[in-house]
Amino acid sequence: MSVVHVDGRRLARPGACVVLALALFILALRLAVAGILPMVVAAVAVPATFLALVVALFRAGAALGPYALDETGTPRPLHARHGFWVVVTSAVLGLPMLGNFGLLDPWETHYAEVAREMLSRGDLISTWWAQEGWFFSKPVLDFWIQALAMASLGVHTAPGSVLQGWSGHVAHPEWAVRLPSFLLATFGAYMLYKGVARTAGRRAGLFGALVLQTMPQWFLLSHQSITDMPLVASLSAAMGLVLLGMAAPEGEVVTVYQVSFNTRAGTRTVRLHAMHLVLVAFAAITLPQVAYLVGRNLTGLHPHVDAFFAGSTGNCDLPGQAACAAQAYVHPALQPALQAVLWCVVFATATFLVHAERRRARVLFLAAWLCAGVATMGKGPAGVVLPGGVAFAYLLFTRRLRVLLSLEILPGVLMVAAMVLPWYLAMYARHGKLFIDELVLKNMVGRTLEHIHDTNVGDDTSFRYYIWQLGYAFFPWSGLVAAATLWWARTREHDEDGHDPSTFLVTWLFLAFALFTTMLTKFHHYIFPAVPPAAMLTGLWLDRTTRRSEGASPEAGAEGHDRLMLGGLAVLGAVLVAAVGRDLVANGDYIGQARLLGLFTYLYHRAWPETVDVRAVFAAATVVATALTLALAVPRWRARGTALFIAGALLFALFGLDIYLVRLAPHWGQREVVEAYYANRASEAEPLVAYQMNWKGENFYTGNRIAIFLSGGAPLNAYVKRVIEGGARAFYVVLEPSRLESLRNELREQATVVPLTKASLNNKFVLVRATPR
Amino acid sequence: MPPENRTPLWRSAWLAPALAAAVVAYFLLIGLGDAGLWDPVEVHAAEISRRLAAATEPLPTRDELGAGELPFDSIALGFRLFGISAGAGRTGLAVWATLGVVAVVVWLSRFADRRAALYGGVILASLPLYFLQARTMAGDIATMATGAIAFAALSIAVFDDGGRRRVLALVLGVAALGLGVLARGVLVGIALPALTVGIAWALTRIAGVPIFEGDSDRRPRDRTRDLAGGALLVIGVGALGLGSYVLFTSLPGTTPFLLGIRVAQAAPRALSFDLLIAQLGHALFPWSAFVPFAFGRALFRPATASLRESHGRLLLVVATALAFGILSLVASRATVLPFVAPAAISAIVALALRDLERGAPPSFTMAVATVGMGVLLARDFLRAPETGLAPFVTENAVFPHTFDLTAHTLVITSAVLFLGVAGTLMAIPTTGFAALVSPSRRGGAIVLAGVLAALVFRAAYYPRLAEQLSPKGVFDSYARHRRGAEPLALLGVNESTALYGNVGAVTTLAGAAAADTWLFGGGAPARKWLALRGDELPAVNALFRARSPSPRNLPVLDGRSSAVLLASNELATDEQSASPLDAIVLAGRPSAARPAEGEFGNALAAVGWEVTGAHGERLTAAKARKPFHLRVYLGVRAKVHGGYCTFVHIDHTPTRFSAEHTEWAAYPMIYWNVGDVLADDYEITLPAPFRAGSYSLYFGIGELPCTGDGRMKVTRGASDGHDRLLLGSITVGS
Repeated sequence: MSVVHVDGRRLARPGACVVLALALFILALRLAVAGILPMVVAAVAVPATFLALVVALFRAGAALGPYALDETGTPRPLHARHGFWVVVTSAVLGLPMLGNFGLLDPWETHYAEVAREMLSRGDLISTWWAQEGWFFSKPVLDFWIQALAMASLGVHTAPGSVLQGWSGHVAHPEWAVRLPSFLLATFGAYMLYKGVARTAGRRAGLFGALVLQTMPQWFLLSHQSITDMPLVASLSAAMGLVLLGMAAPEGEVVTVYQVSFNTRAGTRTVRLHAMHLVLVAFAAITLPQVAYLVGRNLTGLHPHVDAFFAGSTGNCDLPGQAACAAQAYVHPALQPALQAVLWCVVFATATFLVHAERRRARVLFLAAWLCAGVATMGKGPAGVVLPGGVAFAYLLFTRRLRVLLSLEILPGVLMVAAMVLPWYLAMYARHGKLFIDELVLKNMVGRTLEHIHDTNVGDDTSFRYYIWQLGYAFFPWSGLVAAATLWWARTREHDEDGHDPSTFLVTWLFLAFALFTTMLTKFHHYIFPAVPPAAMLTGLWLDRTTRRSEGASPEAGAEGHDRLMLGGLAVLGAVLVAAVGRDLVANGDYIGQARLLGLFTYLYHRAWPETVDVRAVFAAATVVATALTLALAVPRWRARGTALFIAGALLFALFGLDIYLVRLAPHWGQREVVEAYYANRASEAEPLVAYQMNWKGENFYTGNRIAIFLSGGAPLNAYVKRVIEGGARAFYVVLEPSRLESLRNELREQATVVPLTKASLNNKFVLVRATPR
Repeated sequence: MPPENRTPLWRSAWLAPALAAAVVAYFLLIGLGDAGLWDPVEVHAAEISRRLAAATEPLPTRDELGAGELPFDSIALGFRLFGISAGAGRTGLAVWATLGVVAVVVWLSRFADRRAALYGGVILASLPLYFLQARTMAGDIATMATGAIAFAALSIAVFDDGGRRRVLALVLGVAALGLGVLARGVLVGIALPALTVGIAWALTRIAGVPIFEGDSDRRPRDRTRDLAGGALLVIGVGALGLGSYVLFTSLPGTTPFLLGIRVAQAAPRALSFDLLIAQLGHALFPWSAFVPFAFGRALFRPATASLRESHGRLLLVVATALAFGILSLVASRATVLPFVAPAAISAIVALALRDLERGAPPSFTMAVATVGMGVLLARDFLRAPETGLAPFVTENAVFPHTFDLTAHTLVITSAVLFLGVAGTLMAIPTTGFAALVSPSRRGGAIVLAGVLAALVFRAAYYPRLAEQLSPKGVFDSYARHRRGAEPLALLGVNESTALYGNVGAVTTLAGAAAADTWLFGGGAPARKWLALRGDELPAVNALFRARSPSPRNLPVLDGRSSAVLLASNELATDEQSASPLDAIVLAGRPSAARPAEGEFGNALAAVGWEVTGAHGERLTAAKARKPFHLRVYLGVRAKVHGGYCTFVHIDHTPTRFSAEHTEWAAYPMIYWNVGDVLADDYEITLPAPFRAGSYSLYFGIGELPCTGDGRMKVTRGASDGHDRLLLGSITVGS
């Protein structure tokens, strides 16, 4: 066993730096949320403080020991570590504009609203969905992490106050809402990089991570607070840890860091190792759930039966909102505290089974189970089915099934159960089989076996559906992904050690493709789990082919043949990326420029704003990508071409995140329209009405303090009459422009309607002011 | 020769080529006249070619052709030589297809070895895209063949040895380029093959790899190769530029000679880069399950391979890439053509399989992935049977859903054959039955499995589909049923098909009213026959029902196909009608159906409903996640002129189940006569949340497009206030 002795005093300064950097990072975010920091300042301050935190963590890690030496046993400064640059890339791409544009309807605002309601209602168990009642479509993780971020970063979640910043500023809750997606994306990319770097080489890992972070579906979803990044990032981390575990030499144990502190009572020694990290993370995810469950039956020290209610706190009096009412448990015997006992037992059992584990491979596999559990909390069984299936298939293909015995399956399953199931049981206890029917049977099982809510009318949903979307998801790497995948097919499944990361990645890619192609419900973003393996495979291929051009060919005798084949693949890749790029520019049944947005939105044919035209950028990117792909055919240009390609892809990613998404967001959300309401109204006595709307932006940005009329008629007129009689000099309505005439007709006897916002601000929704006649 | 010295028959050198030739002949040449002319897909080409052959009518213009003239000339030659018949017309195209196979065989024999050549020829002939294009007067087999010939000849001219051989190949290649222009213009006919060889030559130079094994630099032979390669590159670039210019500057609706394709009035709406991938996946099935992996495998270099084989593999990759690119370019302003380089794909597959016999390692991963891919593709055929039309690459075809069940069975048979055998042979070289096949025969065994699987399509699937699509089956039924000189008329069926179908003189009718008058207008003989397109049946049936004192459906004597049917004004005593409308337009409410009381808009009454299984058997209860049929019976009280959809709701908390029929395609509302009873049949699978119990069943009639709240008012019966009629309760069992 390797033991590293550490003087505790050496940790004081790095530890303090970590705390300080963390405080600065949180401060920057809080100031950004509060609207105090102008956009440009926030765009610099947030990434800068984040990177300071990363540097501080590295220094602390170096002082403690894990980061003191590299894999060869020699010191390596931070700037020479590829993993650092993976994180820097994530920060530079992902942080500057993270919170500087509004949430997109309907999913971002939808989930953010559920998270807000959790805080507003003081109930972290039952998920409430604006005026529609209980929300049983998604597992809980995304709501918890958004709620945690909102609470930590000062978002006002009370009705009517979401956009209230500090001292008259307009708040930017989007920083908080999206932060968890960004953090998970960074973590997932980093862990997958580690896995590939360990098994295929540092440069392969770096290339792969850079390719991944510059693929549109990855970088755009890192800026979306929806369930897919928590799933895929955690899943990627799990896969990276599996790769690390499979590469760990048999019998090797984790390093123990023995930290000595001088105290008044003498020298104290604390022994730390990686298993502690796993256990701490496991406890951090599970025990707060347990504690919260206990707290539901305790007020102070007074035990009582848990009570929960339906309705949106503070908004129950508004039209269209569900009435606030106490609810009864469907299974009252299953009180939260009793559930907590069960989970304590499960937690304790799992901890007992693993706490003494020191073998590096097994510790890594347990960490992988942890990440798979997080992925399952994020979006359901795929979080554990996919990594498990990939691992099993890979071991089968490489004839190493005995490794299954070291995958820690029983403790892993217990850990996942302890993390995932508490919320399910708590919900079942409250809502009964209705919850199971909706979430599990309809939205999980049902989506596999039936068409549920998908918006593919007129589209060919055969095997080509996800090939179609992956072309755009990978751009500008589309051609090289194809080349890399074909290159794999010519090789053996495994090297002499029985291990081949490229086969692992291809297995992952193919299983994800097959799984989601088989599902009857299809959305463009469902194929997202196939993006990381494709990226890593491409990075691996780039690493190997640039080594070839540098003369370091492992198959010197076949070098001429390989050069020819690489030349052919360069042509194939160039043609493919040119064809994909053409789609991004040309219009047909889809607007070309909208295809990247369509990688993660709901309705794919919504009107494109006339004020946004980025076709020239897409055209230029296509030309450059085609040329650089073709250039890879020339051996002596390959290394330089690869570097240029990566640079170009980084620029494209910056464009995608800081210009494309930012310019489109006002037309796909309602932040600006609701902002205009608050700017124009004289007082709270001038309410906002949502007329024939159900996009959720109107709910989130108002804290659900909004009168909702899905249809008009007598109830609308009665409400308007009450408002006018109450002395309001105006009221406001948010609606789709196509419904303006209908609204005018409805209100013609009571009020005059005047639009306040223009299509150039938001081409899908308009804010009108209605003044009494 | 003493018996002990004679080579056994099964080891004879000529046996494999003979077998391969027999396979190719079966797929491409035999039975060309068995299937009748396919209306409208083949009729257009047949008629134009007939005019070319006759030369007494005005010659068709290029815009009428919509394509290059070579295929039409080939069909016309067949008519000239063998008379006007479907088989004669297809003969010329089949000859082109055979020449394409010969080109692939020759090419593989030069760039690989003899066995790979046999594999390649057989694989190409057994690709559904290839053999169906060969056997149909509607496609691009001439383009595919001339392209294969040009590719093979020009590659040999640049990369092969032998001065004389290369000169001959160059001449043949140039001739093939010319023919390619006549087939599909300069982009496909010249740019594609010339650029393929030119770019491959350029890449060889860039990679610093000799073009010819044993060459040293600066021998005179090098320069002629460079000259040829460079010239082809220049020609290819020039053709690409010229063709692109013509493509993007030509007027919509025209077919410029240099383009060989009709420029579209508007760009295809669903154009995206993957359309060709989708086409290949379905049109090459079952081989397409292996094609992606074959590509990767073909990049592998067996230890015994020569430098020329490396060049060959490069040529194939470049050919496939450029075909994809040029067809994508064409599609952006014209139409999606059939993939014109199946020869390259067949060669790639052949090489990959031959490599298994020459030392390439077997791969369990690849085998599993091939099976997985095959399952996904087969699933597409099962979910959407019209996928079977993919090899024809036409938008004019309607898949007859009377063929669905047969299609399912045959697709599964083919998939199991190929995936089961090929998957095992690719994966585990020494286990199970795979151990019976020696490694040196493994590739051949997989080819055999593929051919057998493709035979299911050649021998069963497509012939039976053709029976459904072509009026020939209906003409044959007419010939069997008619007595004496009972006349035949056509409604919606091209009269040219009668010409090729040998039914003698026919009357062509325009419209249901004319058909009704012709059938029932009197005169001798009393009995008359009508061959009509499936979508014409509702109108004719409605007129027939209107004239009948006790309304019944028009007698249909041949309703096997939903595309073309044979009807008559009378039924003989020993005959029974097989009208597809019998299940929809009823004599009355079935007596066992549960009664319903309700009326919509004072026009349509709900008279009953029932739950049945897949074969019409009555069920007392439905089951969640198991398909069943819900039939609602409607009585027509007053004429309705369309513009409505019908829907059912099965209420459940929190979300109900709903199903609707926005179109009554089988029998549109406009044809409903007063007094008719219609069956509104819903195939339903309730989701899992529908546990055992009773659920309220509602029926309603919405106003198209049925996305809003507009509904036909419930004027009688138990309405829920939202114009939904409560029919009763549906029981769901456990």
